[in-house]
This record gives sequence, structure tokens and C-alpha cells, in this order.
Amino acid sequence: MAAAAKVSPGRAAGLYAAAAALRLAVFAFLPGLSDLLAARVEVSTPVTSFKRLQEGLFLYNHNVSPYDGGVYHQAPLLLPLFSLLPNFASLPLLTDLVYVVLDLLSARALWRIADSGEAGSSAQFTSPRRAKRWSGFVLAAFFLFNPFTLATCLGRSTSVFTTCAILHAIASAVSGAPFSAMVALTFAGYLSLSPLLLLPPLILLAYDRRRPGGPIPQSGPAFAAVCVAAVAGVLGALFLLSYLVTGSWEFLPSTYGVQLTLSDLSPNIGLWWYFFVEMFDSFRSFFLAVFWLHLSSYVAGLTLRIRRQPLVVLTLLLGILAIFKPYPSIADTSLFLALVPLYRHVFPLMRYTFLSASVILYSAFLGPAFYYLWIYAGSGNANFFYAITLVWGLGQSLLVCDLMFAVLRDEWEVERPEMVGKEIRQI
Amino acid sequence: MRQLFSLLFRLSFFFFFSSLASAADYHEQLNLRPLPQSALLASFNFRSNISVSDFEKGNFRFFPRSLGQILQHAGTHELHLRFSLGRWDAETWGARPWNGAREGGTGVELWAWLEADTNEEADRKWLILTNALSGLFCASLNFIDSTRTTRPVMSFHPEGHHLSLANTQLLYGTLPHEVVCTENLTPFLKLLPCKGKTGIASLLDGHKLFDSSWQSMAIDIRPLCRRRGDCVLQIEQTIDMVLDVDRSKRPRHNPIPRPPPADQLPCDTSKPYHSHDTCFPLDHTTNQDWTLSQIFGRPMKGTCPLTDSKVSPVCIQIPHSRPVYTSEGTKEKKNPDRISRCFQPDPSADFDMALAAPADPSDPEILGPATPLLYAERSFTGYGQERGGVQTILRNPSPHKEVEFIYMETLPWFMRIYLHTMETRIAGESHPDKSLVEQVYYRPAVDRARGTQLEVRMRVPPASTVLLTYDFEKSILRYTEYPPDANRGFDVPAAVITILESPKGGKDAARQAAAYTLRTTSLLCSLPTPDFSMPYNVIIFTSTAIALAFGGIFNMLVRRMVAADEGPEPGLKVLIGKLKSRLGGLKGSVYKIRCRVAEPGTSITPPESEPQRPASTKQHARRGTPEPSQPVSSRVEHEDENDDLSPSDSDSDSDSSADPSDSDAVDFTPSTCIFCNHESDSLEANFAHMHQTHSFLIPFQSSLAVDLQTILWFLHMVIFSYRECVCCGKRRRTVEAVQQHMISMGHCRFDVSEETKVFYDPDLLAAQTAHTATRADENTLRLPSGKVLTRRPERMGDGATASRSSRERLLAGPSTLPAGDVSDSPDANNNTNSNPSSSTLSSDSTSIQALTKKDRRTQALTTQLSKLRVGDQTALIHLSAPEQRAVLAAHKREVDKARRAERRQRRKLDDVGNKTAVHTKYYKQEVPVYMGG
Repeated sequence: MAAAAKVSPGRAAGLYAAAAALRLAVFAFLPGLSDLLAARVEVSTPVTSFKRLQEGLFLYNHNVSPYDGGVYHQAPLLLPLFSLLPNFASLPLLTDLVYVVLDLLSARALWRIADSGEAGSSAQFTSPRRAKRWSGFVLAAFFLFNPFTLATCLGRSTSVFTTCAILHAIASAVSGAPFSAMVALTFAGYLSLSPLLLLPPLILLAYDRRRPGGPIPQSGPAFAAVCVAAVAGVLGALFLLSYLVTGSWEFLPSTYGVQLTLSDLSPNIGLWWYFFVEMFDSFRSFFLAVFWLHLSSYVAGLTLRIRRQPLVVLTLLLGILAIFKPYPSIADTSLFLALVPLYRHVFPLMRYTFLSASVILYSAFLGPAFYYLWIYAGSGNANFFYAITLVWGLGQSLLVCDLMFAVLRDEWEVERPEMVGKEIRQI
Repeated sequence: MRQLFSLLFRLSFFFFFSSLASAADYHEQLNLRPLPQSALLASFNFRSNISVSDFEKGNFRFFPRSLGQILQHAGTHELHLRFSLGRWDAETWGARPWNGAREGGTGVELWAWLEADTNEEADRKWLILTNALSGLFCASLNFIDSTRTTRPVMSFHPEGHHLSLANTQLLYGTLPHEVVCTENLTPFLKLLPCKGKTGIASLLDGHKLFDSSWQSMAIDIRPLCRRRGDCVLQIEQTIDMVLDVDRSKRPRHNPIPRPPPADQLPCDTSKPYHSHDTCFPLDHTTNQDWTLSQIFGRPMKGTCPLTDSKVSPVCIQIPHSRPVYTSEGTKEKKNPDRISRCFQPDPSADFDMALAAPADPSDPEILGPATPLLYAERSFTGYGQERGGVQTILRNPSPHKEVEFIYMETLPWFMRIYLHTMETRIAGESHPDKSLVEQVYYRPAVDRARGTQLEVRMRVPPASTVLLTYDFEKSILRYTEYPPDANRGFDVPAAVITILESPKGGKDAARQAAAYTLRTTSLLCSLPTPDFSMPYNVIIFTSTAIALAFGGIFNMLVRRMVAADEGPEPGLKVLIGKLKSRLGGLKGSVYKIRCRVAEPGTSITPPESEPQRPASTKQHARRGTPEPSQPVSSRVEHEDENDDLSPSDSDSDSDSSADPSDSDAVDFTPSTCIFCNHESDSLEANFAHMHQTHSFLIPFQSSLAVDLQTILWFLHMVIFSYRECVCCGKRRRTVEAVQQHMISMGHCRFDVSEETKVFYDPDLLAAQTAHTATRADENTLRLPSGKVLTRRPERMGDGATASRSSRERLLAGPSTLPAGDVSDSPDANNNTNSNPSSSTLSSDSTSIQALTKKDRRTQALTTQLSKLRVGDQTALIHLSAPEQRAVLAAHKREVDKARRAERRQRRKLDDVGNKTAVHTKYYKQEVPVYMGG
């Protein structure tokens, strides 16, 4: 496995340098493009928008509580972090550098995940097809030059932080560092709540890849308990720190409450906003509960069914989150699409790759057009954009389902080697 | 005489009272001021006082009782209420009347100082106040909720004298959307002591007031103290209106504006091209000449007898050079400033006045407008319904004096403003100038709870223009939060600009009185709107998208994968098969009846599903047909134990060469597992293996009539020769497929059924099954229904699978296994004696149906033969079956070909016919064809 992908350090450095140069060049020479991207609803949601972060930062620096208002809904610790940086309006370079470095760190984590070979052979399952895979270099390149990732980074969406934290959580778990995995996941959850749903499969992944003789107990339940306790402890510490920074607990309803109750109905590429715009007031709470229950229902099912490959569960859950989160953006999709190439070995088993790829491309191009028709041209109404978000969601769910089918079939063919390449059905 | 007396009495009564009342208790005054461009500003002012002690005791005289009680109930110390309409054109009209203190933004504005210790108490009292005023003034003041209420910090200052404002709170609310109209004027006039019947209030007519270019009705209630303890509560009602004189002079009977005839057109004679046939029309007359009754629609009805006689009721600000003519009995008093004069009309007679053109054309017609301290304009920037900006242009006309003011915005919550984008810039400069802003008070909006409050204390340098801009984002609302006219837009209240008294700025800014107040116009903000017509559709579509993803994923989670030809038949196929067999059975019985009643010699077509030889096939195997092709080796293996077990039938189906089972039939070895070909040491070891690995168990072993090897041989034959599942009878092409099917479906089991009963001793079996639901064996359980449950310890034996397959089998049973077939199983032959019931069943074999492909083939042949004419039938009768089939196939091909050719020919003909019909206009096209483009 170690021999699978040895990339010379020069090539790696070249890749990172190219990615960083591309981003910095756009920041420096096409500031209009990055401003345009920052204003797009596909990139900036109420909980990740950089403009809202600036507003929160402005209020924070002027001793107005940013959470006593309807604009800033992001984690409190971003405020002291960004106030340490020089003022964005006068010196944007350092802020841009932070975003570029975060993207590179994410790519590095992805590289580590790919090189571990966890996707092809986990502790309990080894795919017969595992030899056919892409190296970490290719994956990192896919991630760094994915237009969705680029747009997210150039739009300075704060979901870059979440992406980086999630990828590092997975990378740490894969490389046998359960504690740092839990810490990274807690950061992701602290920044945007929904990554906490990844905890069960991440614990399993960390458990499968644990190093014997580590500080954490070896038995399953004890391991899980320690992990959960670590997450709870770190989360508590983060909350306490946030309390100390902002001086009140107001940030809890304003950051997580907004995600739970969807009080800000700004259009985005998800399925929630228009549903709750059109929802009758008396059923609002009920459907909020149903939507959250639906989102969390996948965790248990997938974790149990694909117990033998926890990384698959994480990938599928990230895909599901990218569709069914309250405020999804293309950053979530780019994270999912970054992990999909890990399963190069099951690509031949996927049935609808062309269909899902073309649906995603179709809606990626038509979405901005329909949004323009609705908001600016006035020649279309809200249903145009709503319809394209539906198609986008369907395309992604097709991809998720297809990947899941391919992985399950791969597992099944280990039991039934004679069925390779044959027609099958599900009963 | 009597009338005259009573009139005199009344008059004396009035004079008596007015002399009793303190001179300053009530006065009213109308101030007229002609403005440029034929506009006329009319300011009505009514003022009355009540001492605080009287107010507290409830002795209301001039002060309106209805309002007084509301104030007492809501604990209001000072109250200001404004109803405004239109826009003050400062560029033309100059400074505002009362220095802007008596005007409001478009719509309704209300601010009051309420006595309250806590915010909650203030909110409660505010709610009481707004609701009560809403009823009193017929305005939607009750819609001033928390999202429209702010607590200004710098902008508003109390006008009255308060001992202490420590436990009072200032609340401010606006309703920019409110349309002020006559129904607000009526209650306003009712508050006056003379109720609009006499005095200057009799000039107030709703038609004229709300037809004006700009109007503002104001009510101000404030406490005034001369000395400590000597306080009065003063109510001041003000109406300011700017009338368009030309428009007001339009005759009542002809209110529709029409272009005047050419000879009456007022022309601009100053134009160089003006001549007798060229006219540049003036849009307004330059000199104002009007009468009071012309512009207000009626003359003034005397004076209010309650008013202070020292204050002249009507004043006009116009140069003394212009003559003003009044009604008889009017005293004119020219003020020494030479620009204003006042009139004291006859109290009982109608008063009218006429302004004539100036005597000397060189004299100024009217006073020039006073320059205001500041000009302000506010507008939206940007386009689209996603985001925008607000830009306020503030111009200081004074060449030397800097102006310092407080700019206040109260914005609705759905405008999310970005304060960090706020910047001030002097017009003409490229960089923002931060020094212009001295202080900012900002309270951000909270969704659905609170509006934005922004107060900026800033200054504008002399003779310069400052641009104040900020960005905002428009949020989308829930569809129930939109008004019925959602696409009209949402009104944004006017910005209030309060210019402070001393531009240098004292230490305590809050204590400074306002020198001048102005308000910008209100704005119309259009928000993105959803489609209001389809909440149900959205709910359905979104739910469908979610259900698709959820269903797709959970289908995969709970289902197993099998090969395409494994597993149970899909539900629809089973149903169709059942239906077909039922139909076949029906046809068979009809055929039987027809056979019975038919005359001998007639030929009757048998139904397709009817077996070809119902009578001759006395042994029709349930397990498929190929008995005669029973592999010899299997018989050889068995002859030591069951000599007569070998199948005895020899003539039922001779056409077995096509059956591929012969070629790959496997010899029976008792030590080989029949499910996975696992080799064991002995028969017992094999049974142990099958029990362990496949959960295979033979129930009721104690009541078996034959030994275990026989049963195993039977099952072996079923699997390897017939390639059928021992449990559900499914057929597969290869032995491996059958085995795979049984293993994956959990069909490695053996039930006591009609066909396998022959292996059992009936008496022992009956004794065992007599007590129901008992354990037949240590590992089996027989239910009252007759089903045998066998424990399957480690194979994928979940209950659902087992019960499903047994149910399927029960369903499939009657359709594919006619009862008569059972006795014909090969093993039944040697057990006939032990099983009399089955032998009786065997005789009744008329309802035998086509089960195998071969049977169907022969049936088809028969059917096709029977369709031929009798002569053809006899011609073919000597041929062998394959030859007959070949002949028939050739025949069918020929017939089909001929039929196709004929159809093609006919279609061609029809097409030609249609075309001709269209071209000959036989058919008329009713709908014009849309030529795309």
C-alpha cells in the first residue's frame, strides 16, 4: 500500500504552489470576481457568509454584541481570530492567505486519507478491487482545482474552516490518532453544528484504526465512551471560551438556534428555505422537527449497515448533509466530491455516473441563471430557482445512492465472487 | 321676538364665560403664506391649556376629555402624534413651517414619554396608548408593534418642562404605510373646542386638505411650567398644508382638469420666440390672486367664541405693497415688519378675503422662501431584489456655518443593514471622510422582533454636500408575512434629521433643543417574493425529493442483493401467473362440458392451456416431466435398498432429449451434501453437516416409513434431476443455481406435505400431529395451521425470510400443483398401499394442466392444427410431430407476411387519401397554425 503512490516532494510542492498561486492571483488581480462569488447564494449562506462575518467583526470591535441582531450567525471564536488579523478593508492579503492555507491544509488531510488506503481495505473488509485507486496527489489535485472548492475559497465562505476540520478529523482517525480526530470533529461541530452527526462513524473509524497500546482503552464501548467524553469536554471548553469572548450565552440561540429553527429564510441551494417560506405557520415546528429527524436518521442506518467500512459511512453522510442541511452551500458539495474519488475502485460498479454528473452540471449552470431570472430580471418567479434546487438535490442524492450501491455490491461480491459482472437485483 | 331674546341670552352667556376663562386658555390662528410657483402654505394652529390639578381631577374644559383619559391611563407625560402626506419641496418652498417641529414623515408617527420603571412596563403602557389612540383617530396605530418601535437616544428631546425624566421612557413608532385620509381628520376636529363648526377650523375640508401637495396634522401634548408647581398641560393641534392655488381654484362643478382653450393659455412672455401664434405655456401663474373661499371651497364661518380675542385668527405673510381685500367688519392689523398682516373678522359673519395682484408690478409679489439649514434627500441604490444600498445626500447651503445634526433611521427588520459598509464622503472626493461622523448609536434588528435603529451624529462642513451610504440585504419572508399587495413593496420610514441648537456641540448633547428638524421621504423597498399560489405544491415536491433520496438509501440498507434470476418472483409476475392458470382452468372446464354435450364426430378446439392428451396421460408428474430420463446411475445406487423405488413410468414423455438434465446429472452419494456438494465421511456425518451448515432437518424422524437415505435420495433427485428447490419448487437452469437459490433463500428445508407424506407412516404421523403446536422434534415445531417450523441455528434464518417463503409456497401451491399430481410423483408408486388417499386422488386427474415447456409446445401444436381446415388436418395427420410443427410454422410465416403486406398497402393508400383531402380543403383548420419565431 505504501508503494501505491509515492509522489516526489517536488511534485507535491508544485501542486500546492499552483493551487495557492491561482487563488492568490484571483484575489489580487480579480477582486471583482471574489466579491461576486462572495455575494452568490450558492457560496454564502447566512451561516457562512463572509460579509456577515465582517459585520459581526465590526460590531464586535465596536463593543456591540454581534449576537443581539439578525445578521451574524457564526461561531464566536471566529471573531477574535479575525480581529487579530489586520483590517480586511485595508489589508485583505492576510485574510486571503488564511483561506488559501486552510484549503491547502484540507488538501493535505485528503492526501493522508487517500494514502492510508482505508477506502479500499478497512480493518474488517478488503475490497478485491482495491488495487485500482488514485493516489493522494490526484485526490488533492481534484480537491484543490474543483471549481466548487475554488469558488468557496474565493468567496471567503467560512465553511472552509469546517471543511478543513472535518478532513483533519478523518485524517487523524485514519492515522490512528483518535483524540485529535475527536478534537477536530468538535471544532467542525462547533463551527457549524451538523458535522456532529458524523461522530458515530468517526468513532468506529478511529476504533478500527486505533494503534494497540494507545492511551485510550481497547474495548469497544469504553473506547466510544472516551471519545464521546472527549467531544463533550472539548465542546464544553469551546462554549466556555465563547462565553468569555462574547460575555453572554446569547450566541447559542443566535448560531445554533438559527440552524435549528431556520429563522433566516435566505435562498440557498438546499431544500429547506422554500419549504419553510411556504409552510403554514401552525405546522412549522412540526416540519422542522421532521426535517432534523430525517437528517439524523441516516446516521444510525448507515453506520450499522456499512459497519465494515466507516469511511464510506462518513463519505455518504457528508453527501447527505450537503443535500439536507438547513443551509447547504457548494462548499458541502465540494467536500463530498473531494471524498468520492477515494472510491475509484468501485466506480465501475456505479450505474448512473453519467446521469448524476450531468444533472449536477446541469443544475450548476442553470441555477445561477434561474436565480438571475427571479431576483434581477423579474421574468421568472421563485419557482424557477426552487425547481433547480430540487434538481440539484436529486442529482446529488442520485450520486450518494449510486456510490452506496457500488460499495454494497463490492462488499457482496466478496461473498459471491461468481456474480462479478452479472445482473443482480435487490430483494 | 322670542328668538331674538334667546339669541341675546346666549350671546351674553358666551361673553360671560369667555371673560371667566383665563385669557391664555385657548387660541387659534390661521397663518397663510404664499410660496413660489403658485403654492400657498396654510398653517392652522389651535392651542389650549389645562392646569395639571384640573387635569388630575378630571375637570376638562378645552382639553379634550377622550384624549386626557387615555393619557392618564397610559401614564403619558408628553405625546406627539403626526399624520402626514406628501413631500415638502425644500428646493422651491424653502424652510419648513415651525422649523420642522410640527411635521412627521409620510404616514403616522407617534412618540411619547411614558412613565415607567422598567422596559416591560413601558412596553405595556405603549401598547395601551397605541391601541387607544388607534381607536380615537381611526388609524392603524395598533400596528405599531415591537418591530416598529424604537427608543431613540439622541434625536428627540422633550418640548415640555419635566421635573425629572429619570423614570420616563421615550418610545417612538412609525407607520409609513398608513394612508392619512378624511377619517383621521374628523376625530382630529372633534378634539377642538369649536369642533370645526366656527372659526378657522370651519375652513378645513377633507377634499381640500388631502388634495394638497403636502400636509401634516400634528397633536402635541406637553407640560409647561411657569414656576415650580404652577404647571399646565398644553395641547397644540396643528395642520400645515401646501395648496396648489391653481388646482384649488378649479371650480367645484368641473373638477376634471382639462387643457384650457388656446386663447386662455397662460404664456411665458419672456421667451424670445413668444409671439401671437407661439406660446410657451406656464405651468403655474406667477401672481397669486385668490380668495379664501376659492381655495378652501367655503368662506370662514365667523370666529370661535372661545378663542382668545387678543390673538388675531387669520394672518397672511405678504409684502404690504400688495392689497388684500376682506369682508365687511374686518379689522386689519399690519405688523411693523412690513411683511405680515393679521385680520380680526366679525365674530358672527362669514369671513372671506381676496389677494389681488400687486399694484406696482415692480414690487415683489411674495416673500422669497427662507433658506433651510440643510437639504436632505434619501434614495435606494442598486437593483434587484437581493441587496441594495441607501444613499442620503446632505447639503449644507450655508457658506460659512457648519451644521451638526443627528441622523436617525428606523428600518424594518427585513432590511438587514451592514453597518461596516456605512461611509460618509464629501461629494466630489473619492475617499470617505471618517471625521464627519462623530457618534453612532446602533441597535441591530432581530428577525421578527425588532427593527434596526441607527442614530448618527454627524456634521456637514459649510457649502458642501455629504453622501452617507450603507449596504443592506433584503430578506425573504414567510409567505404569510407578505401583505396582499406584496409586489408593491414595503415602506421604509422617513429618516429624521435633527439639527442641534449650537453647532459647536455642548457637553450634554441630549439636553440640546432642536433648532430645525427635517424628514426625508419614505422609501419603497421591494423584497423577493415567493409564489403565493403553491404552498401545497412546494410541500409535495420537496417531500417527494426527500422521499426519493430516503427511499433509495433505505431500500439499499434493508434489502439484500441476489442474482437477477434468484429470489422470489416479483409480485406482479406471481399475480399474472395465478390469473393465467385460473383462466386456463376455466377454459378447461368449458371444454369438458362441450365434449360431454357434443355429438360424436364433431371436432372441438381444446383451449390452449388444456393438456394435449387429457385421458392418455395417466401419470403426469408434478415434478416436471422427465421421469423416463431418470439417470440410470441413481437407480443403480439405490437398488440394494429400494429396488422398486425406481420410476416405473416409461411412456409419459418421450421427448426428453432436449432436456439438459441428463448430461450433467450427478450420481447420488449419500455422503455428499445436496446443497453445497460438501463431502462427508458418512451419511450421518452428512446429515450433521447439513444440519449445521444449512439448518437442514427432517421432521418427525420417529414416524418415518423409509430410512433417511431414501429421503435424501429423493431430495437429491429433485435437486439434481429436476433442478427444483426442495422447499418452494422453483426451477432453475442449472443445479448450481438451484443450490444457490436454496442457500440464499433459506430453502434448505423439508416440510411434511402431501407429496412427502408418503415417506411417513400415516398412523404414527397422525399420533404425533394430534396435539397441535407441540414440539414434533427437538428442533421442529408444528403449528395448528399444519406448518412446521424448523429451527435454523446459524444460517441467515431470520423469521421473516422463512415465513415469507413458506407463504409464497402456499400461494403458489394451488396454482402450479394440482392436487391430482401428487400421487404421480415417482416415489408414490411403491407406496400406494400405504397411502390410499393419494391413490384415490390420482384417478381424478382431469384437471391436469400444462406445466412444462414441452406440454405447452404440444398444446400449441394442437391448437394450431385445430385451426386448420379439416382437409388440411387430414393431410398433415400422417406426418410426425416435428414435421407437423415445421409445416405449420411455414404456414404461419406465409400468412403473417401476407397480412403485413396488405396492411402496408392500405396505410399507403390512406395517407394519400388524407393528403388529398387536406389539400382539397376538405378539412378546414380551425386553429391557425403558430408559425414559430
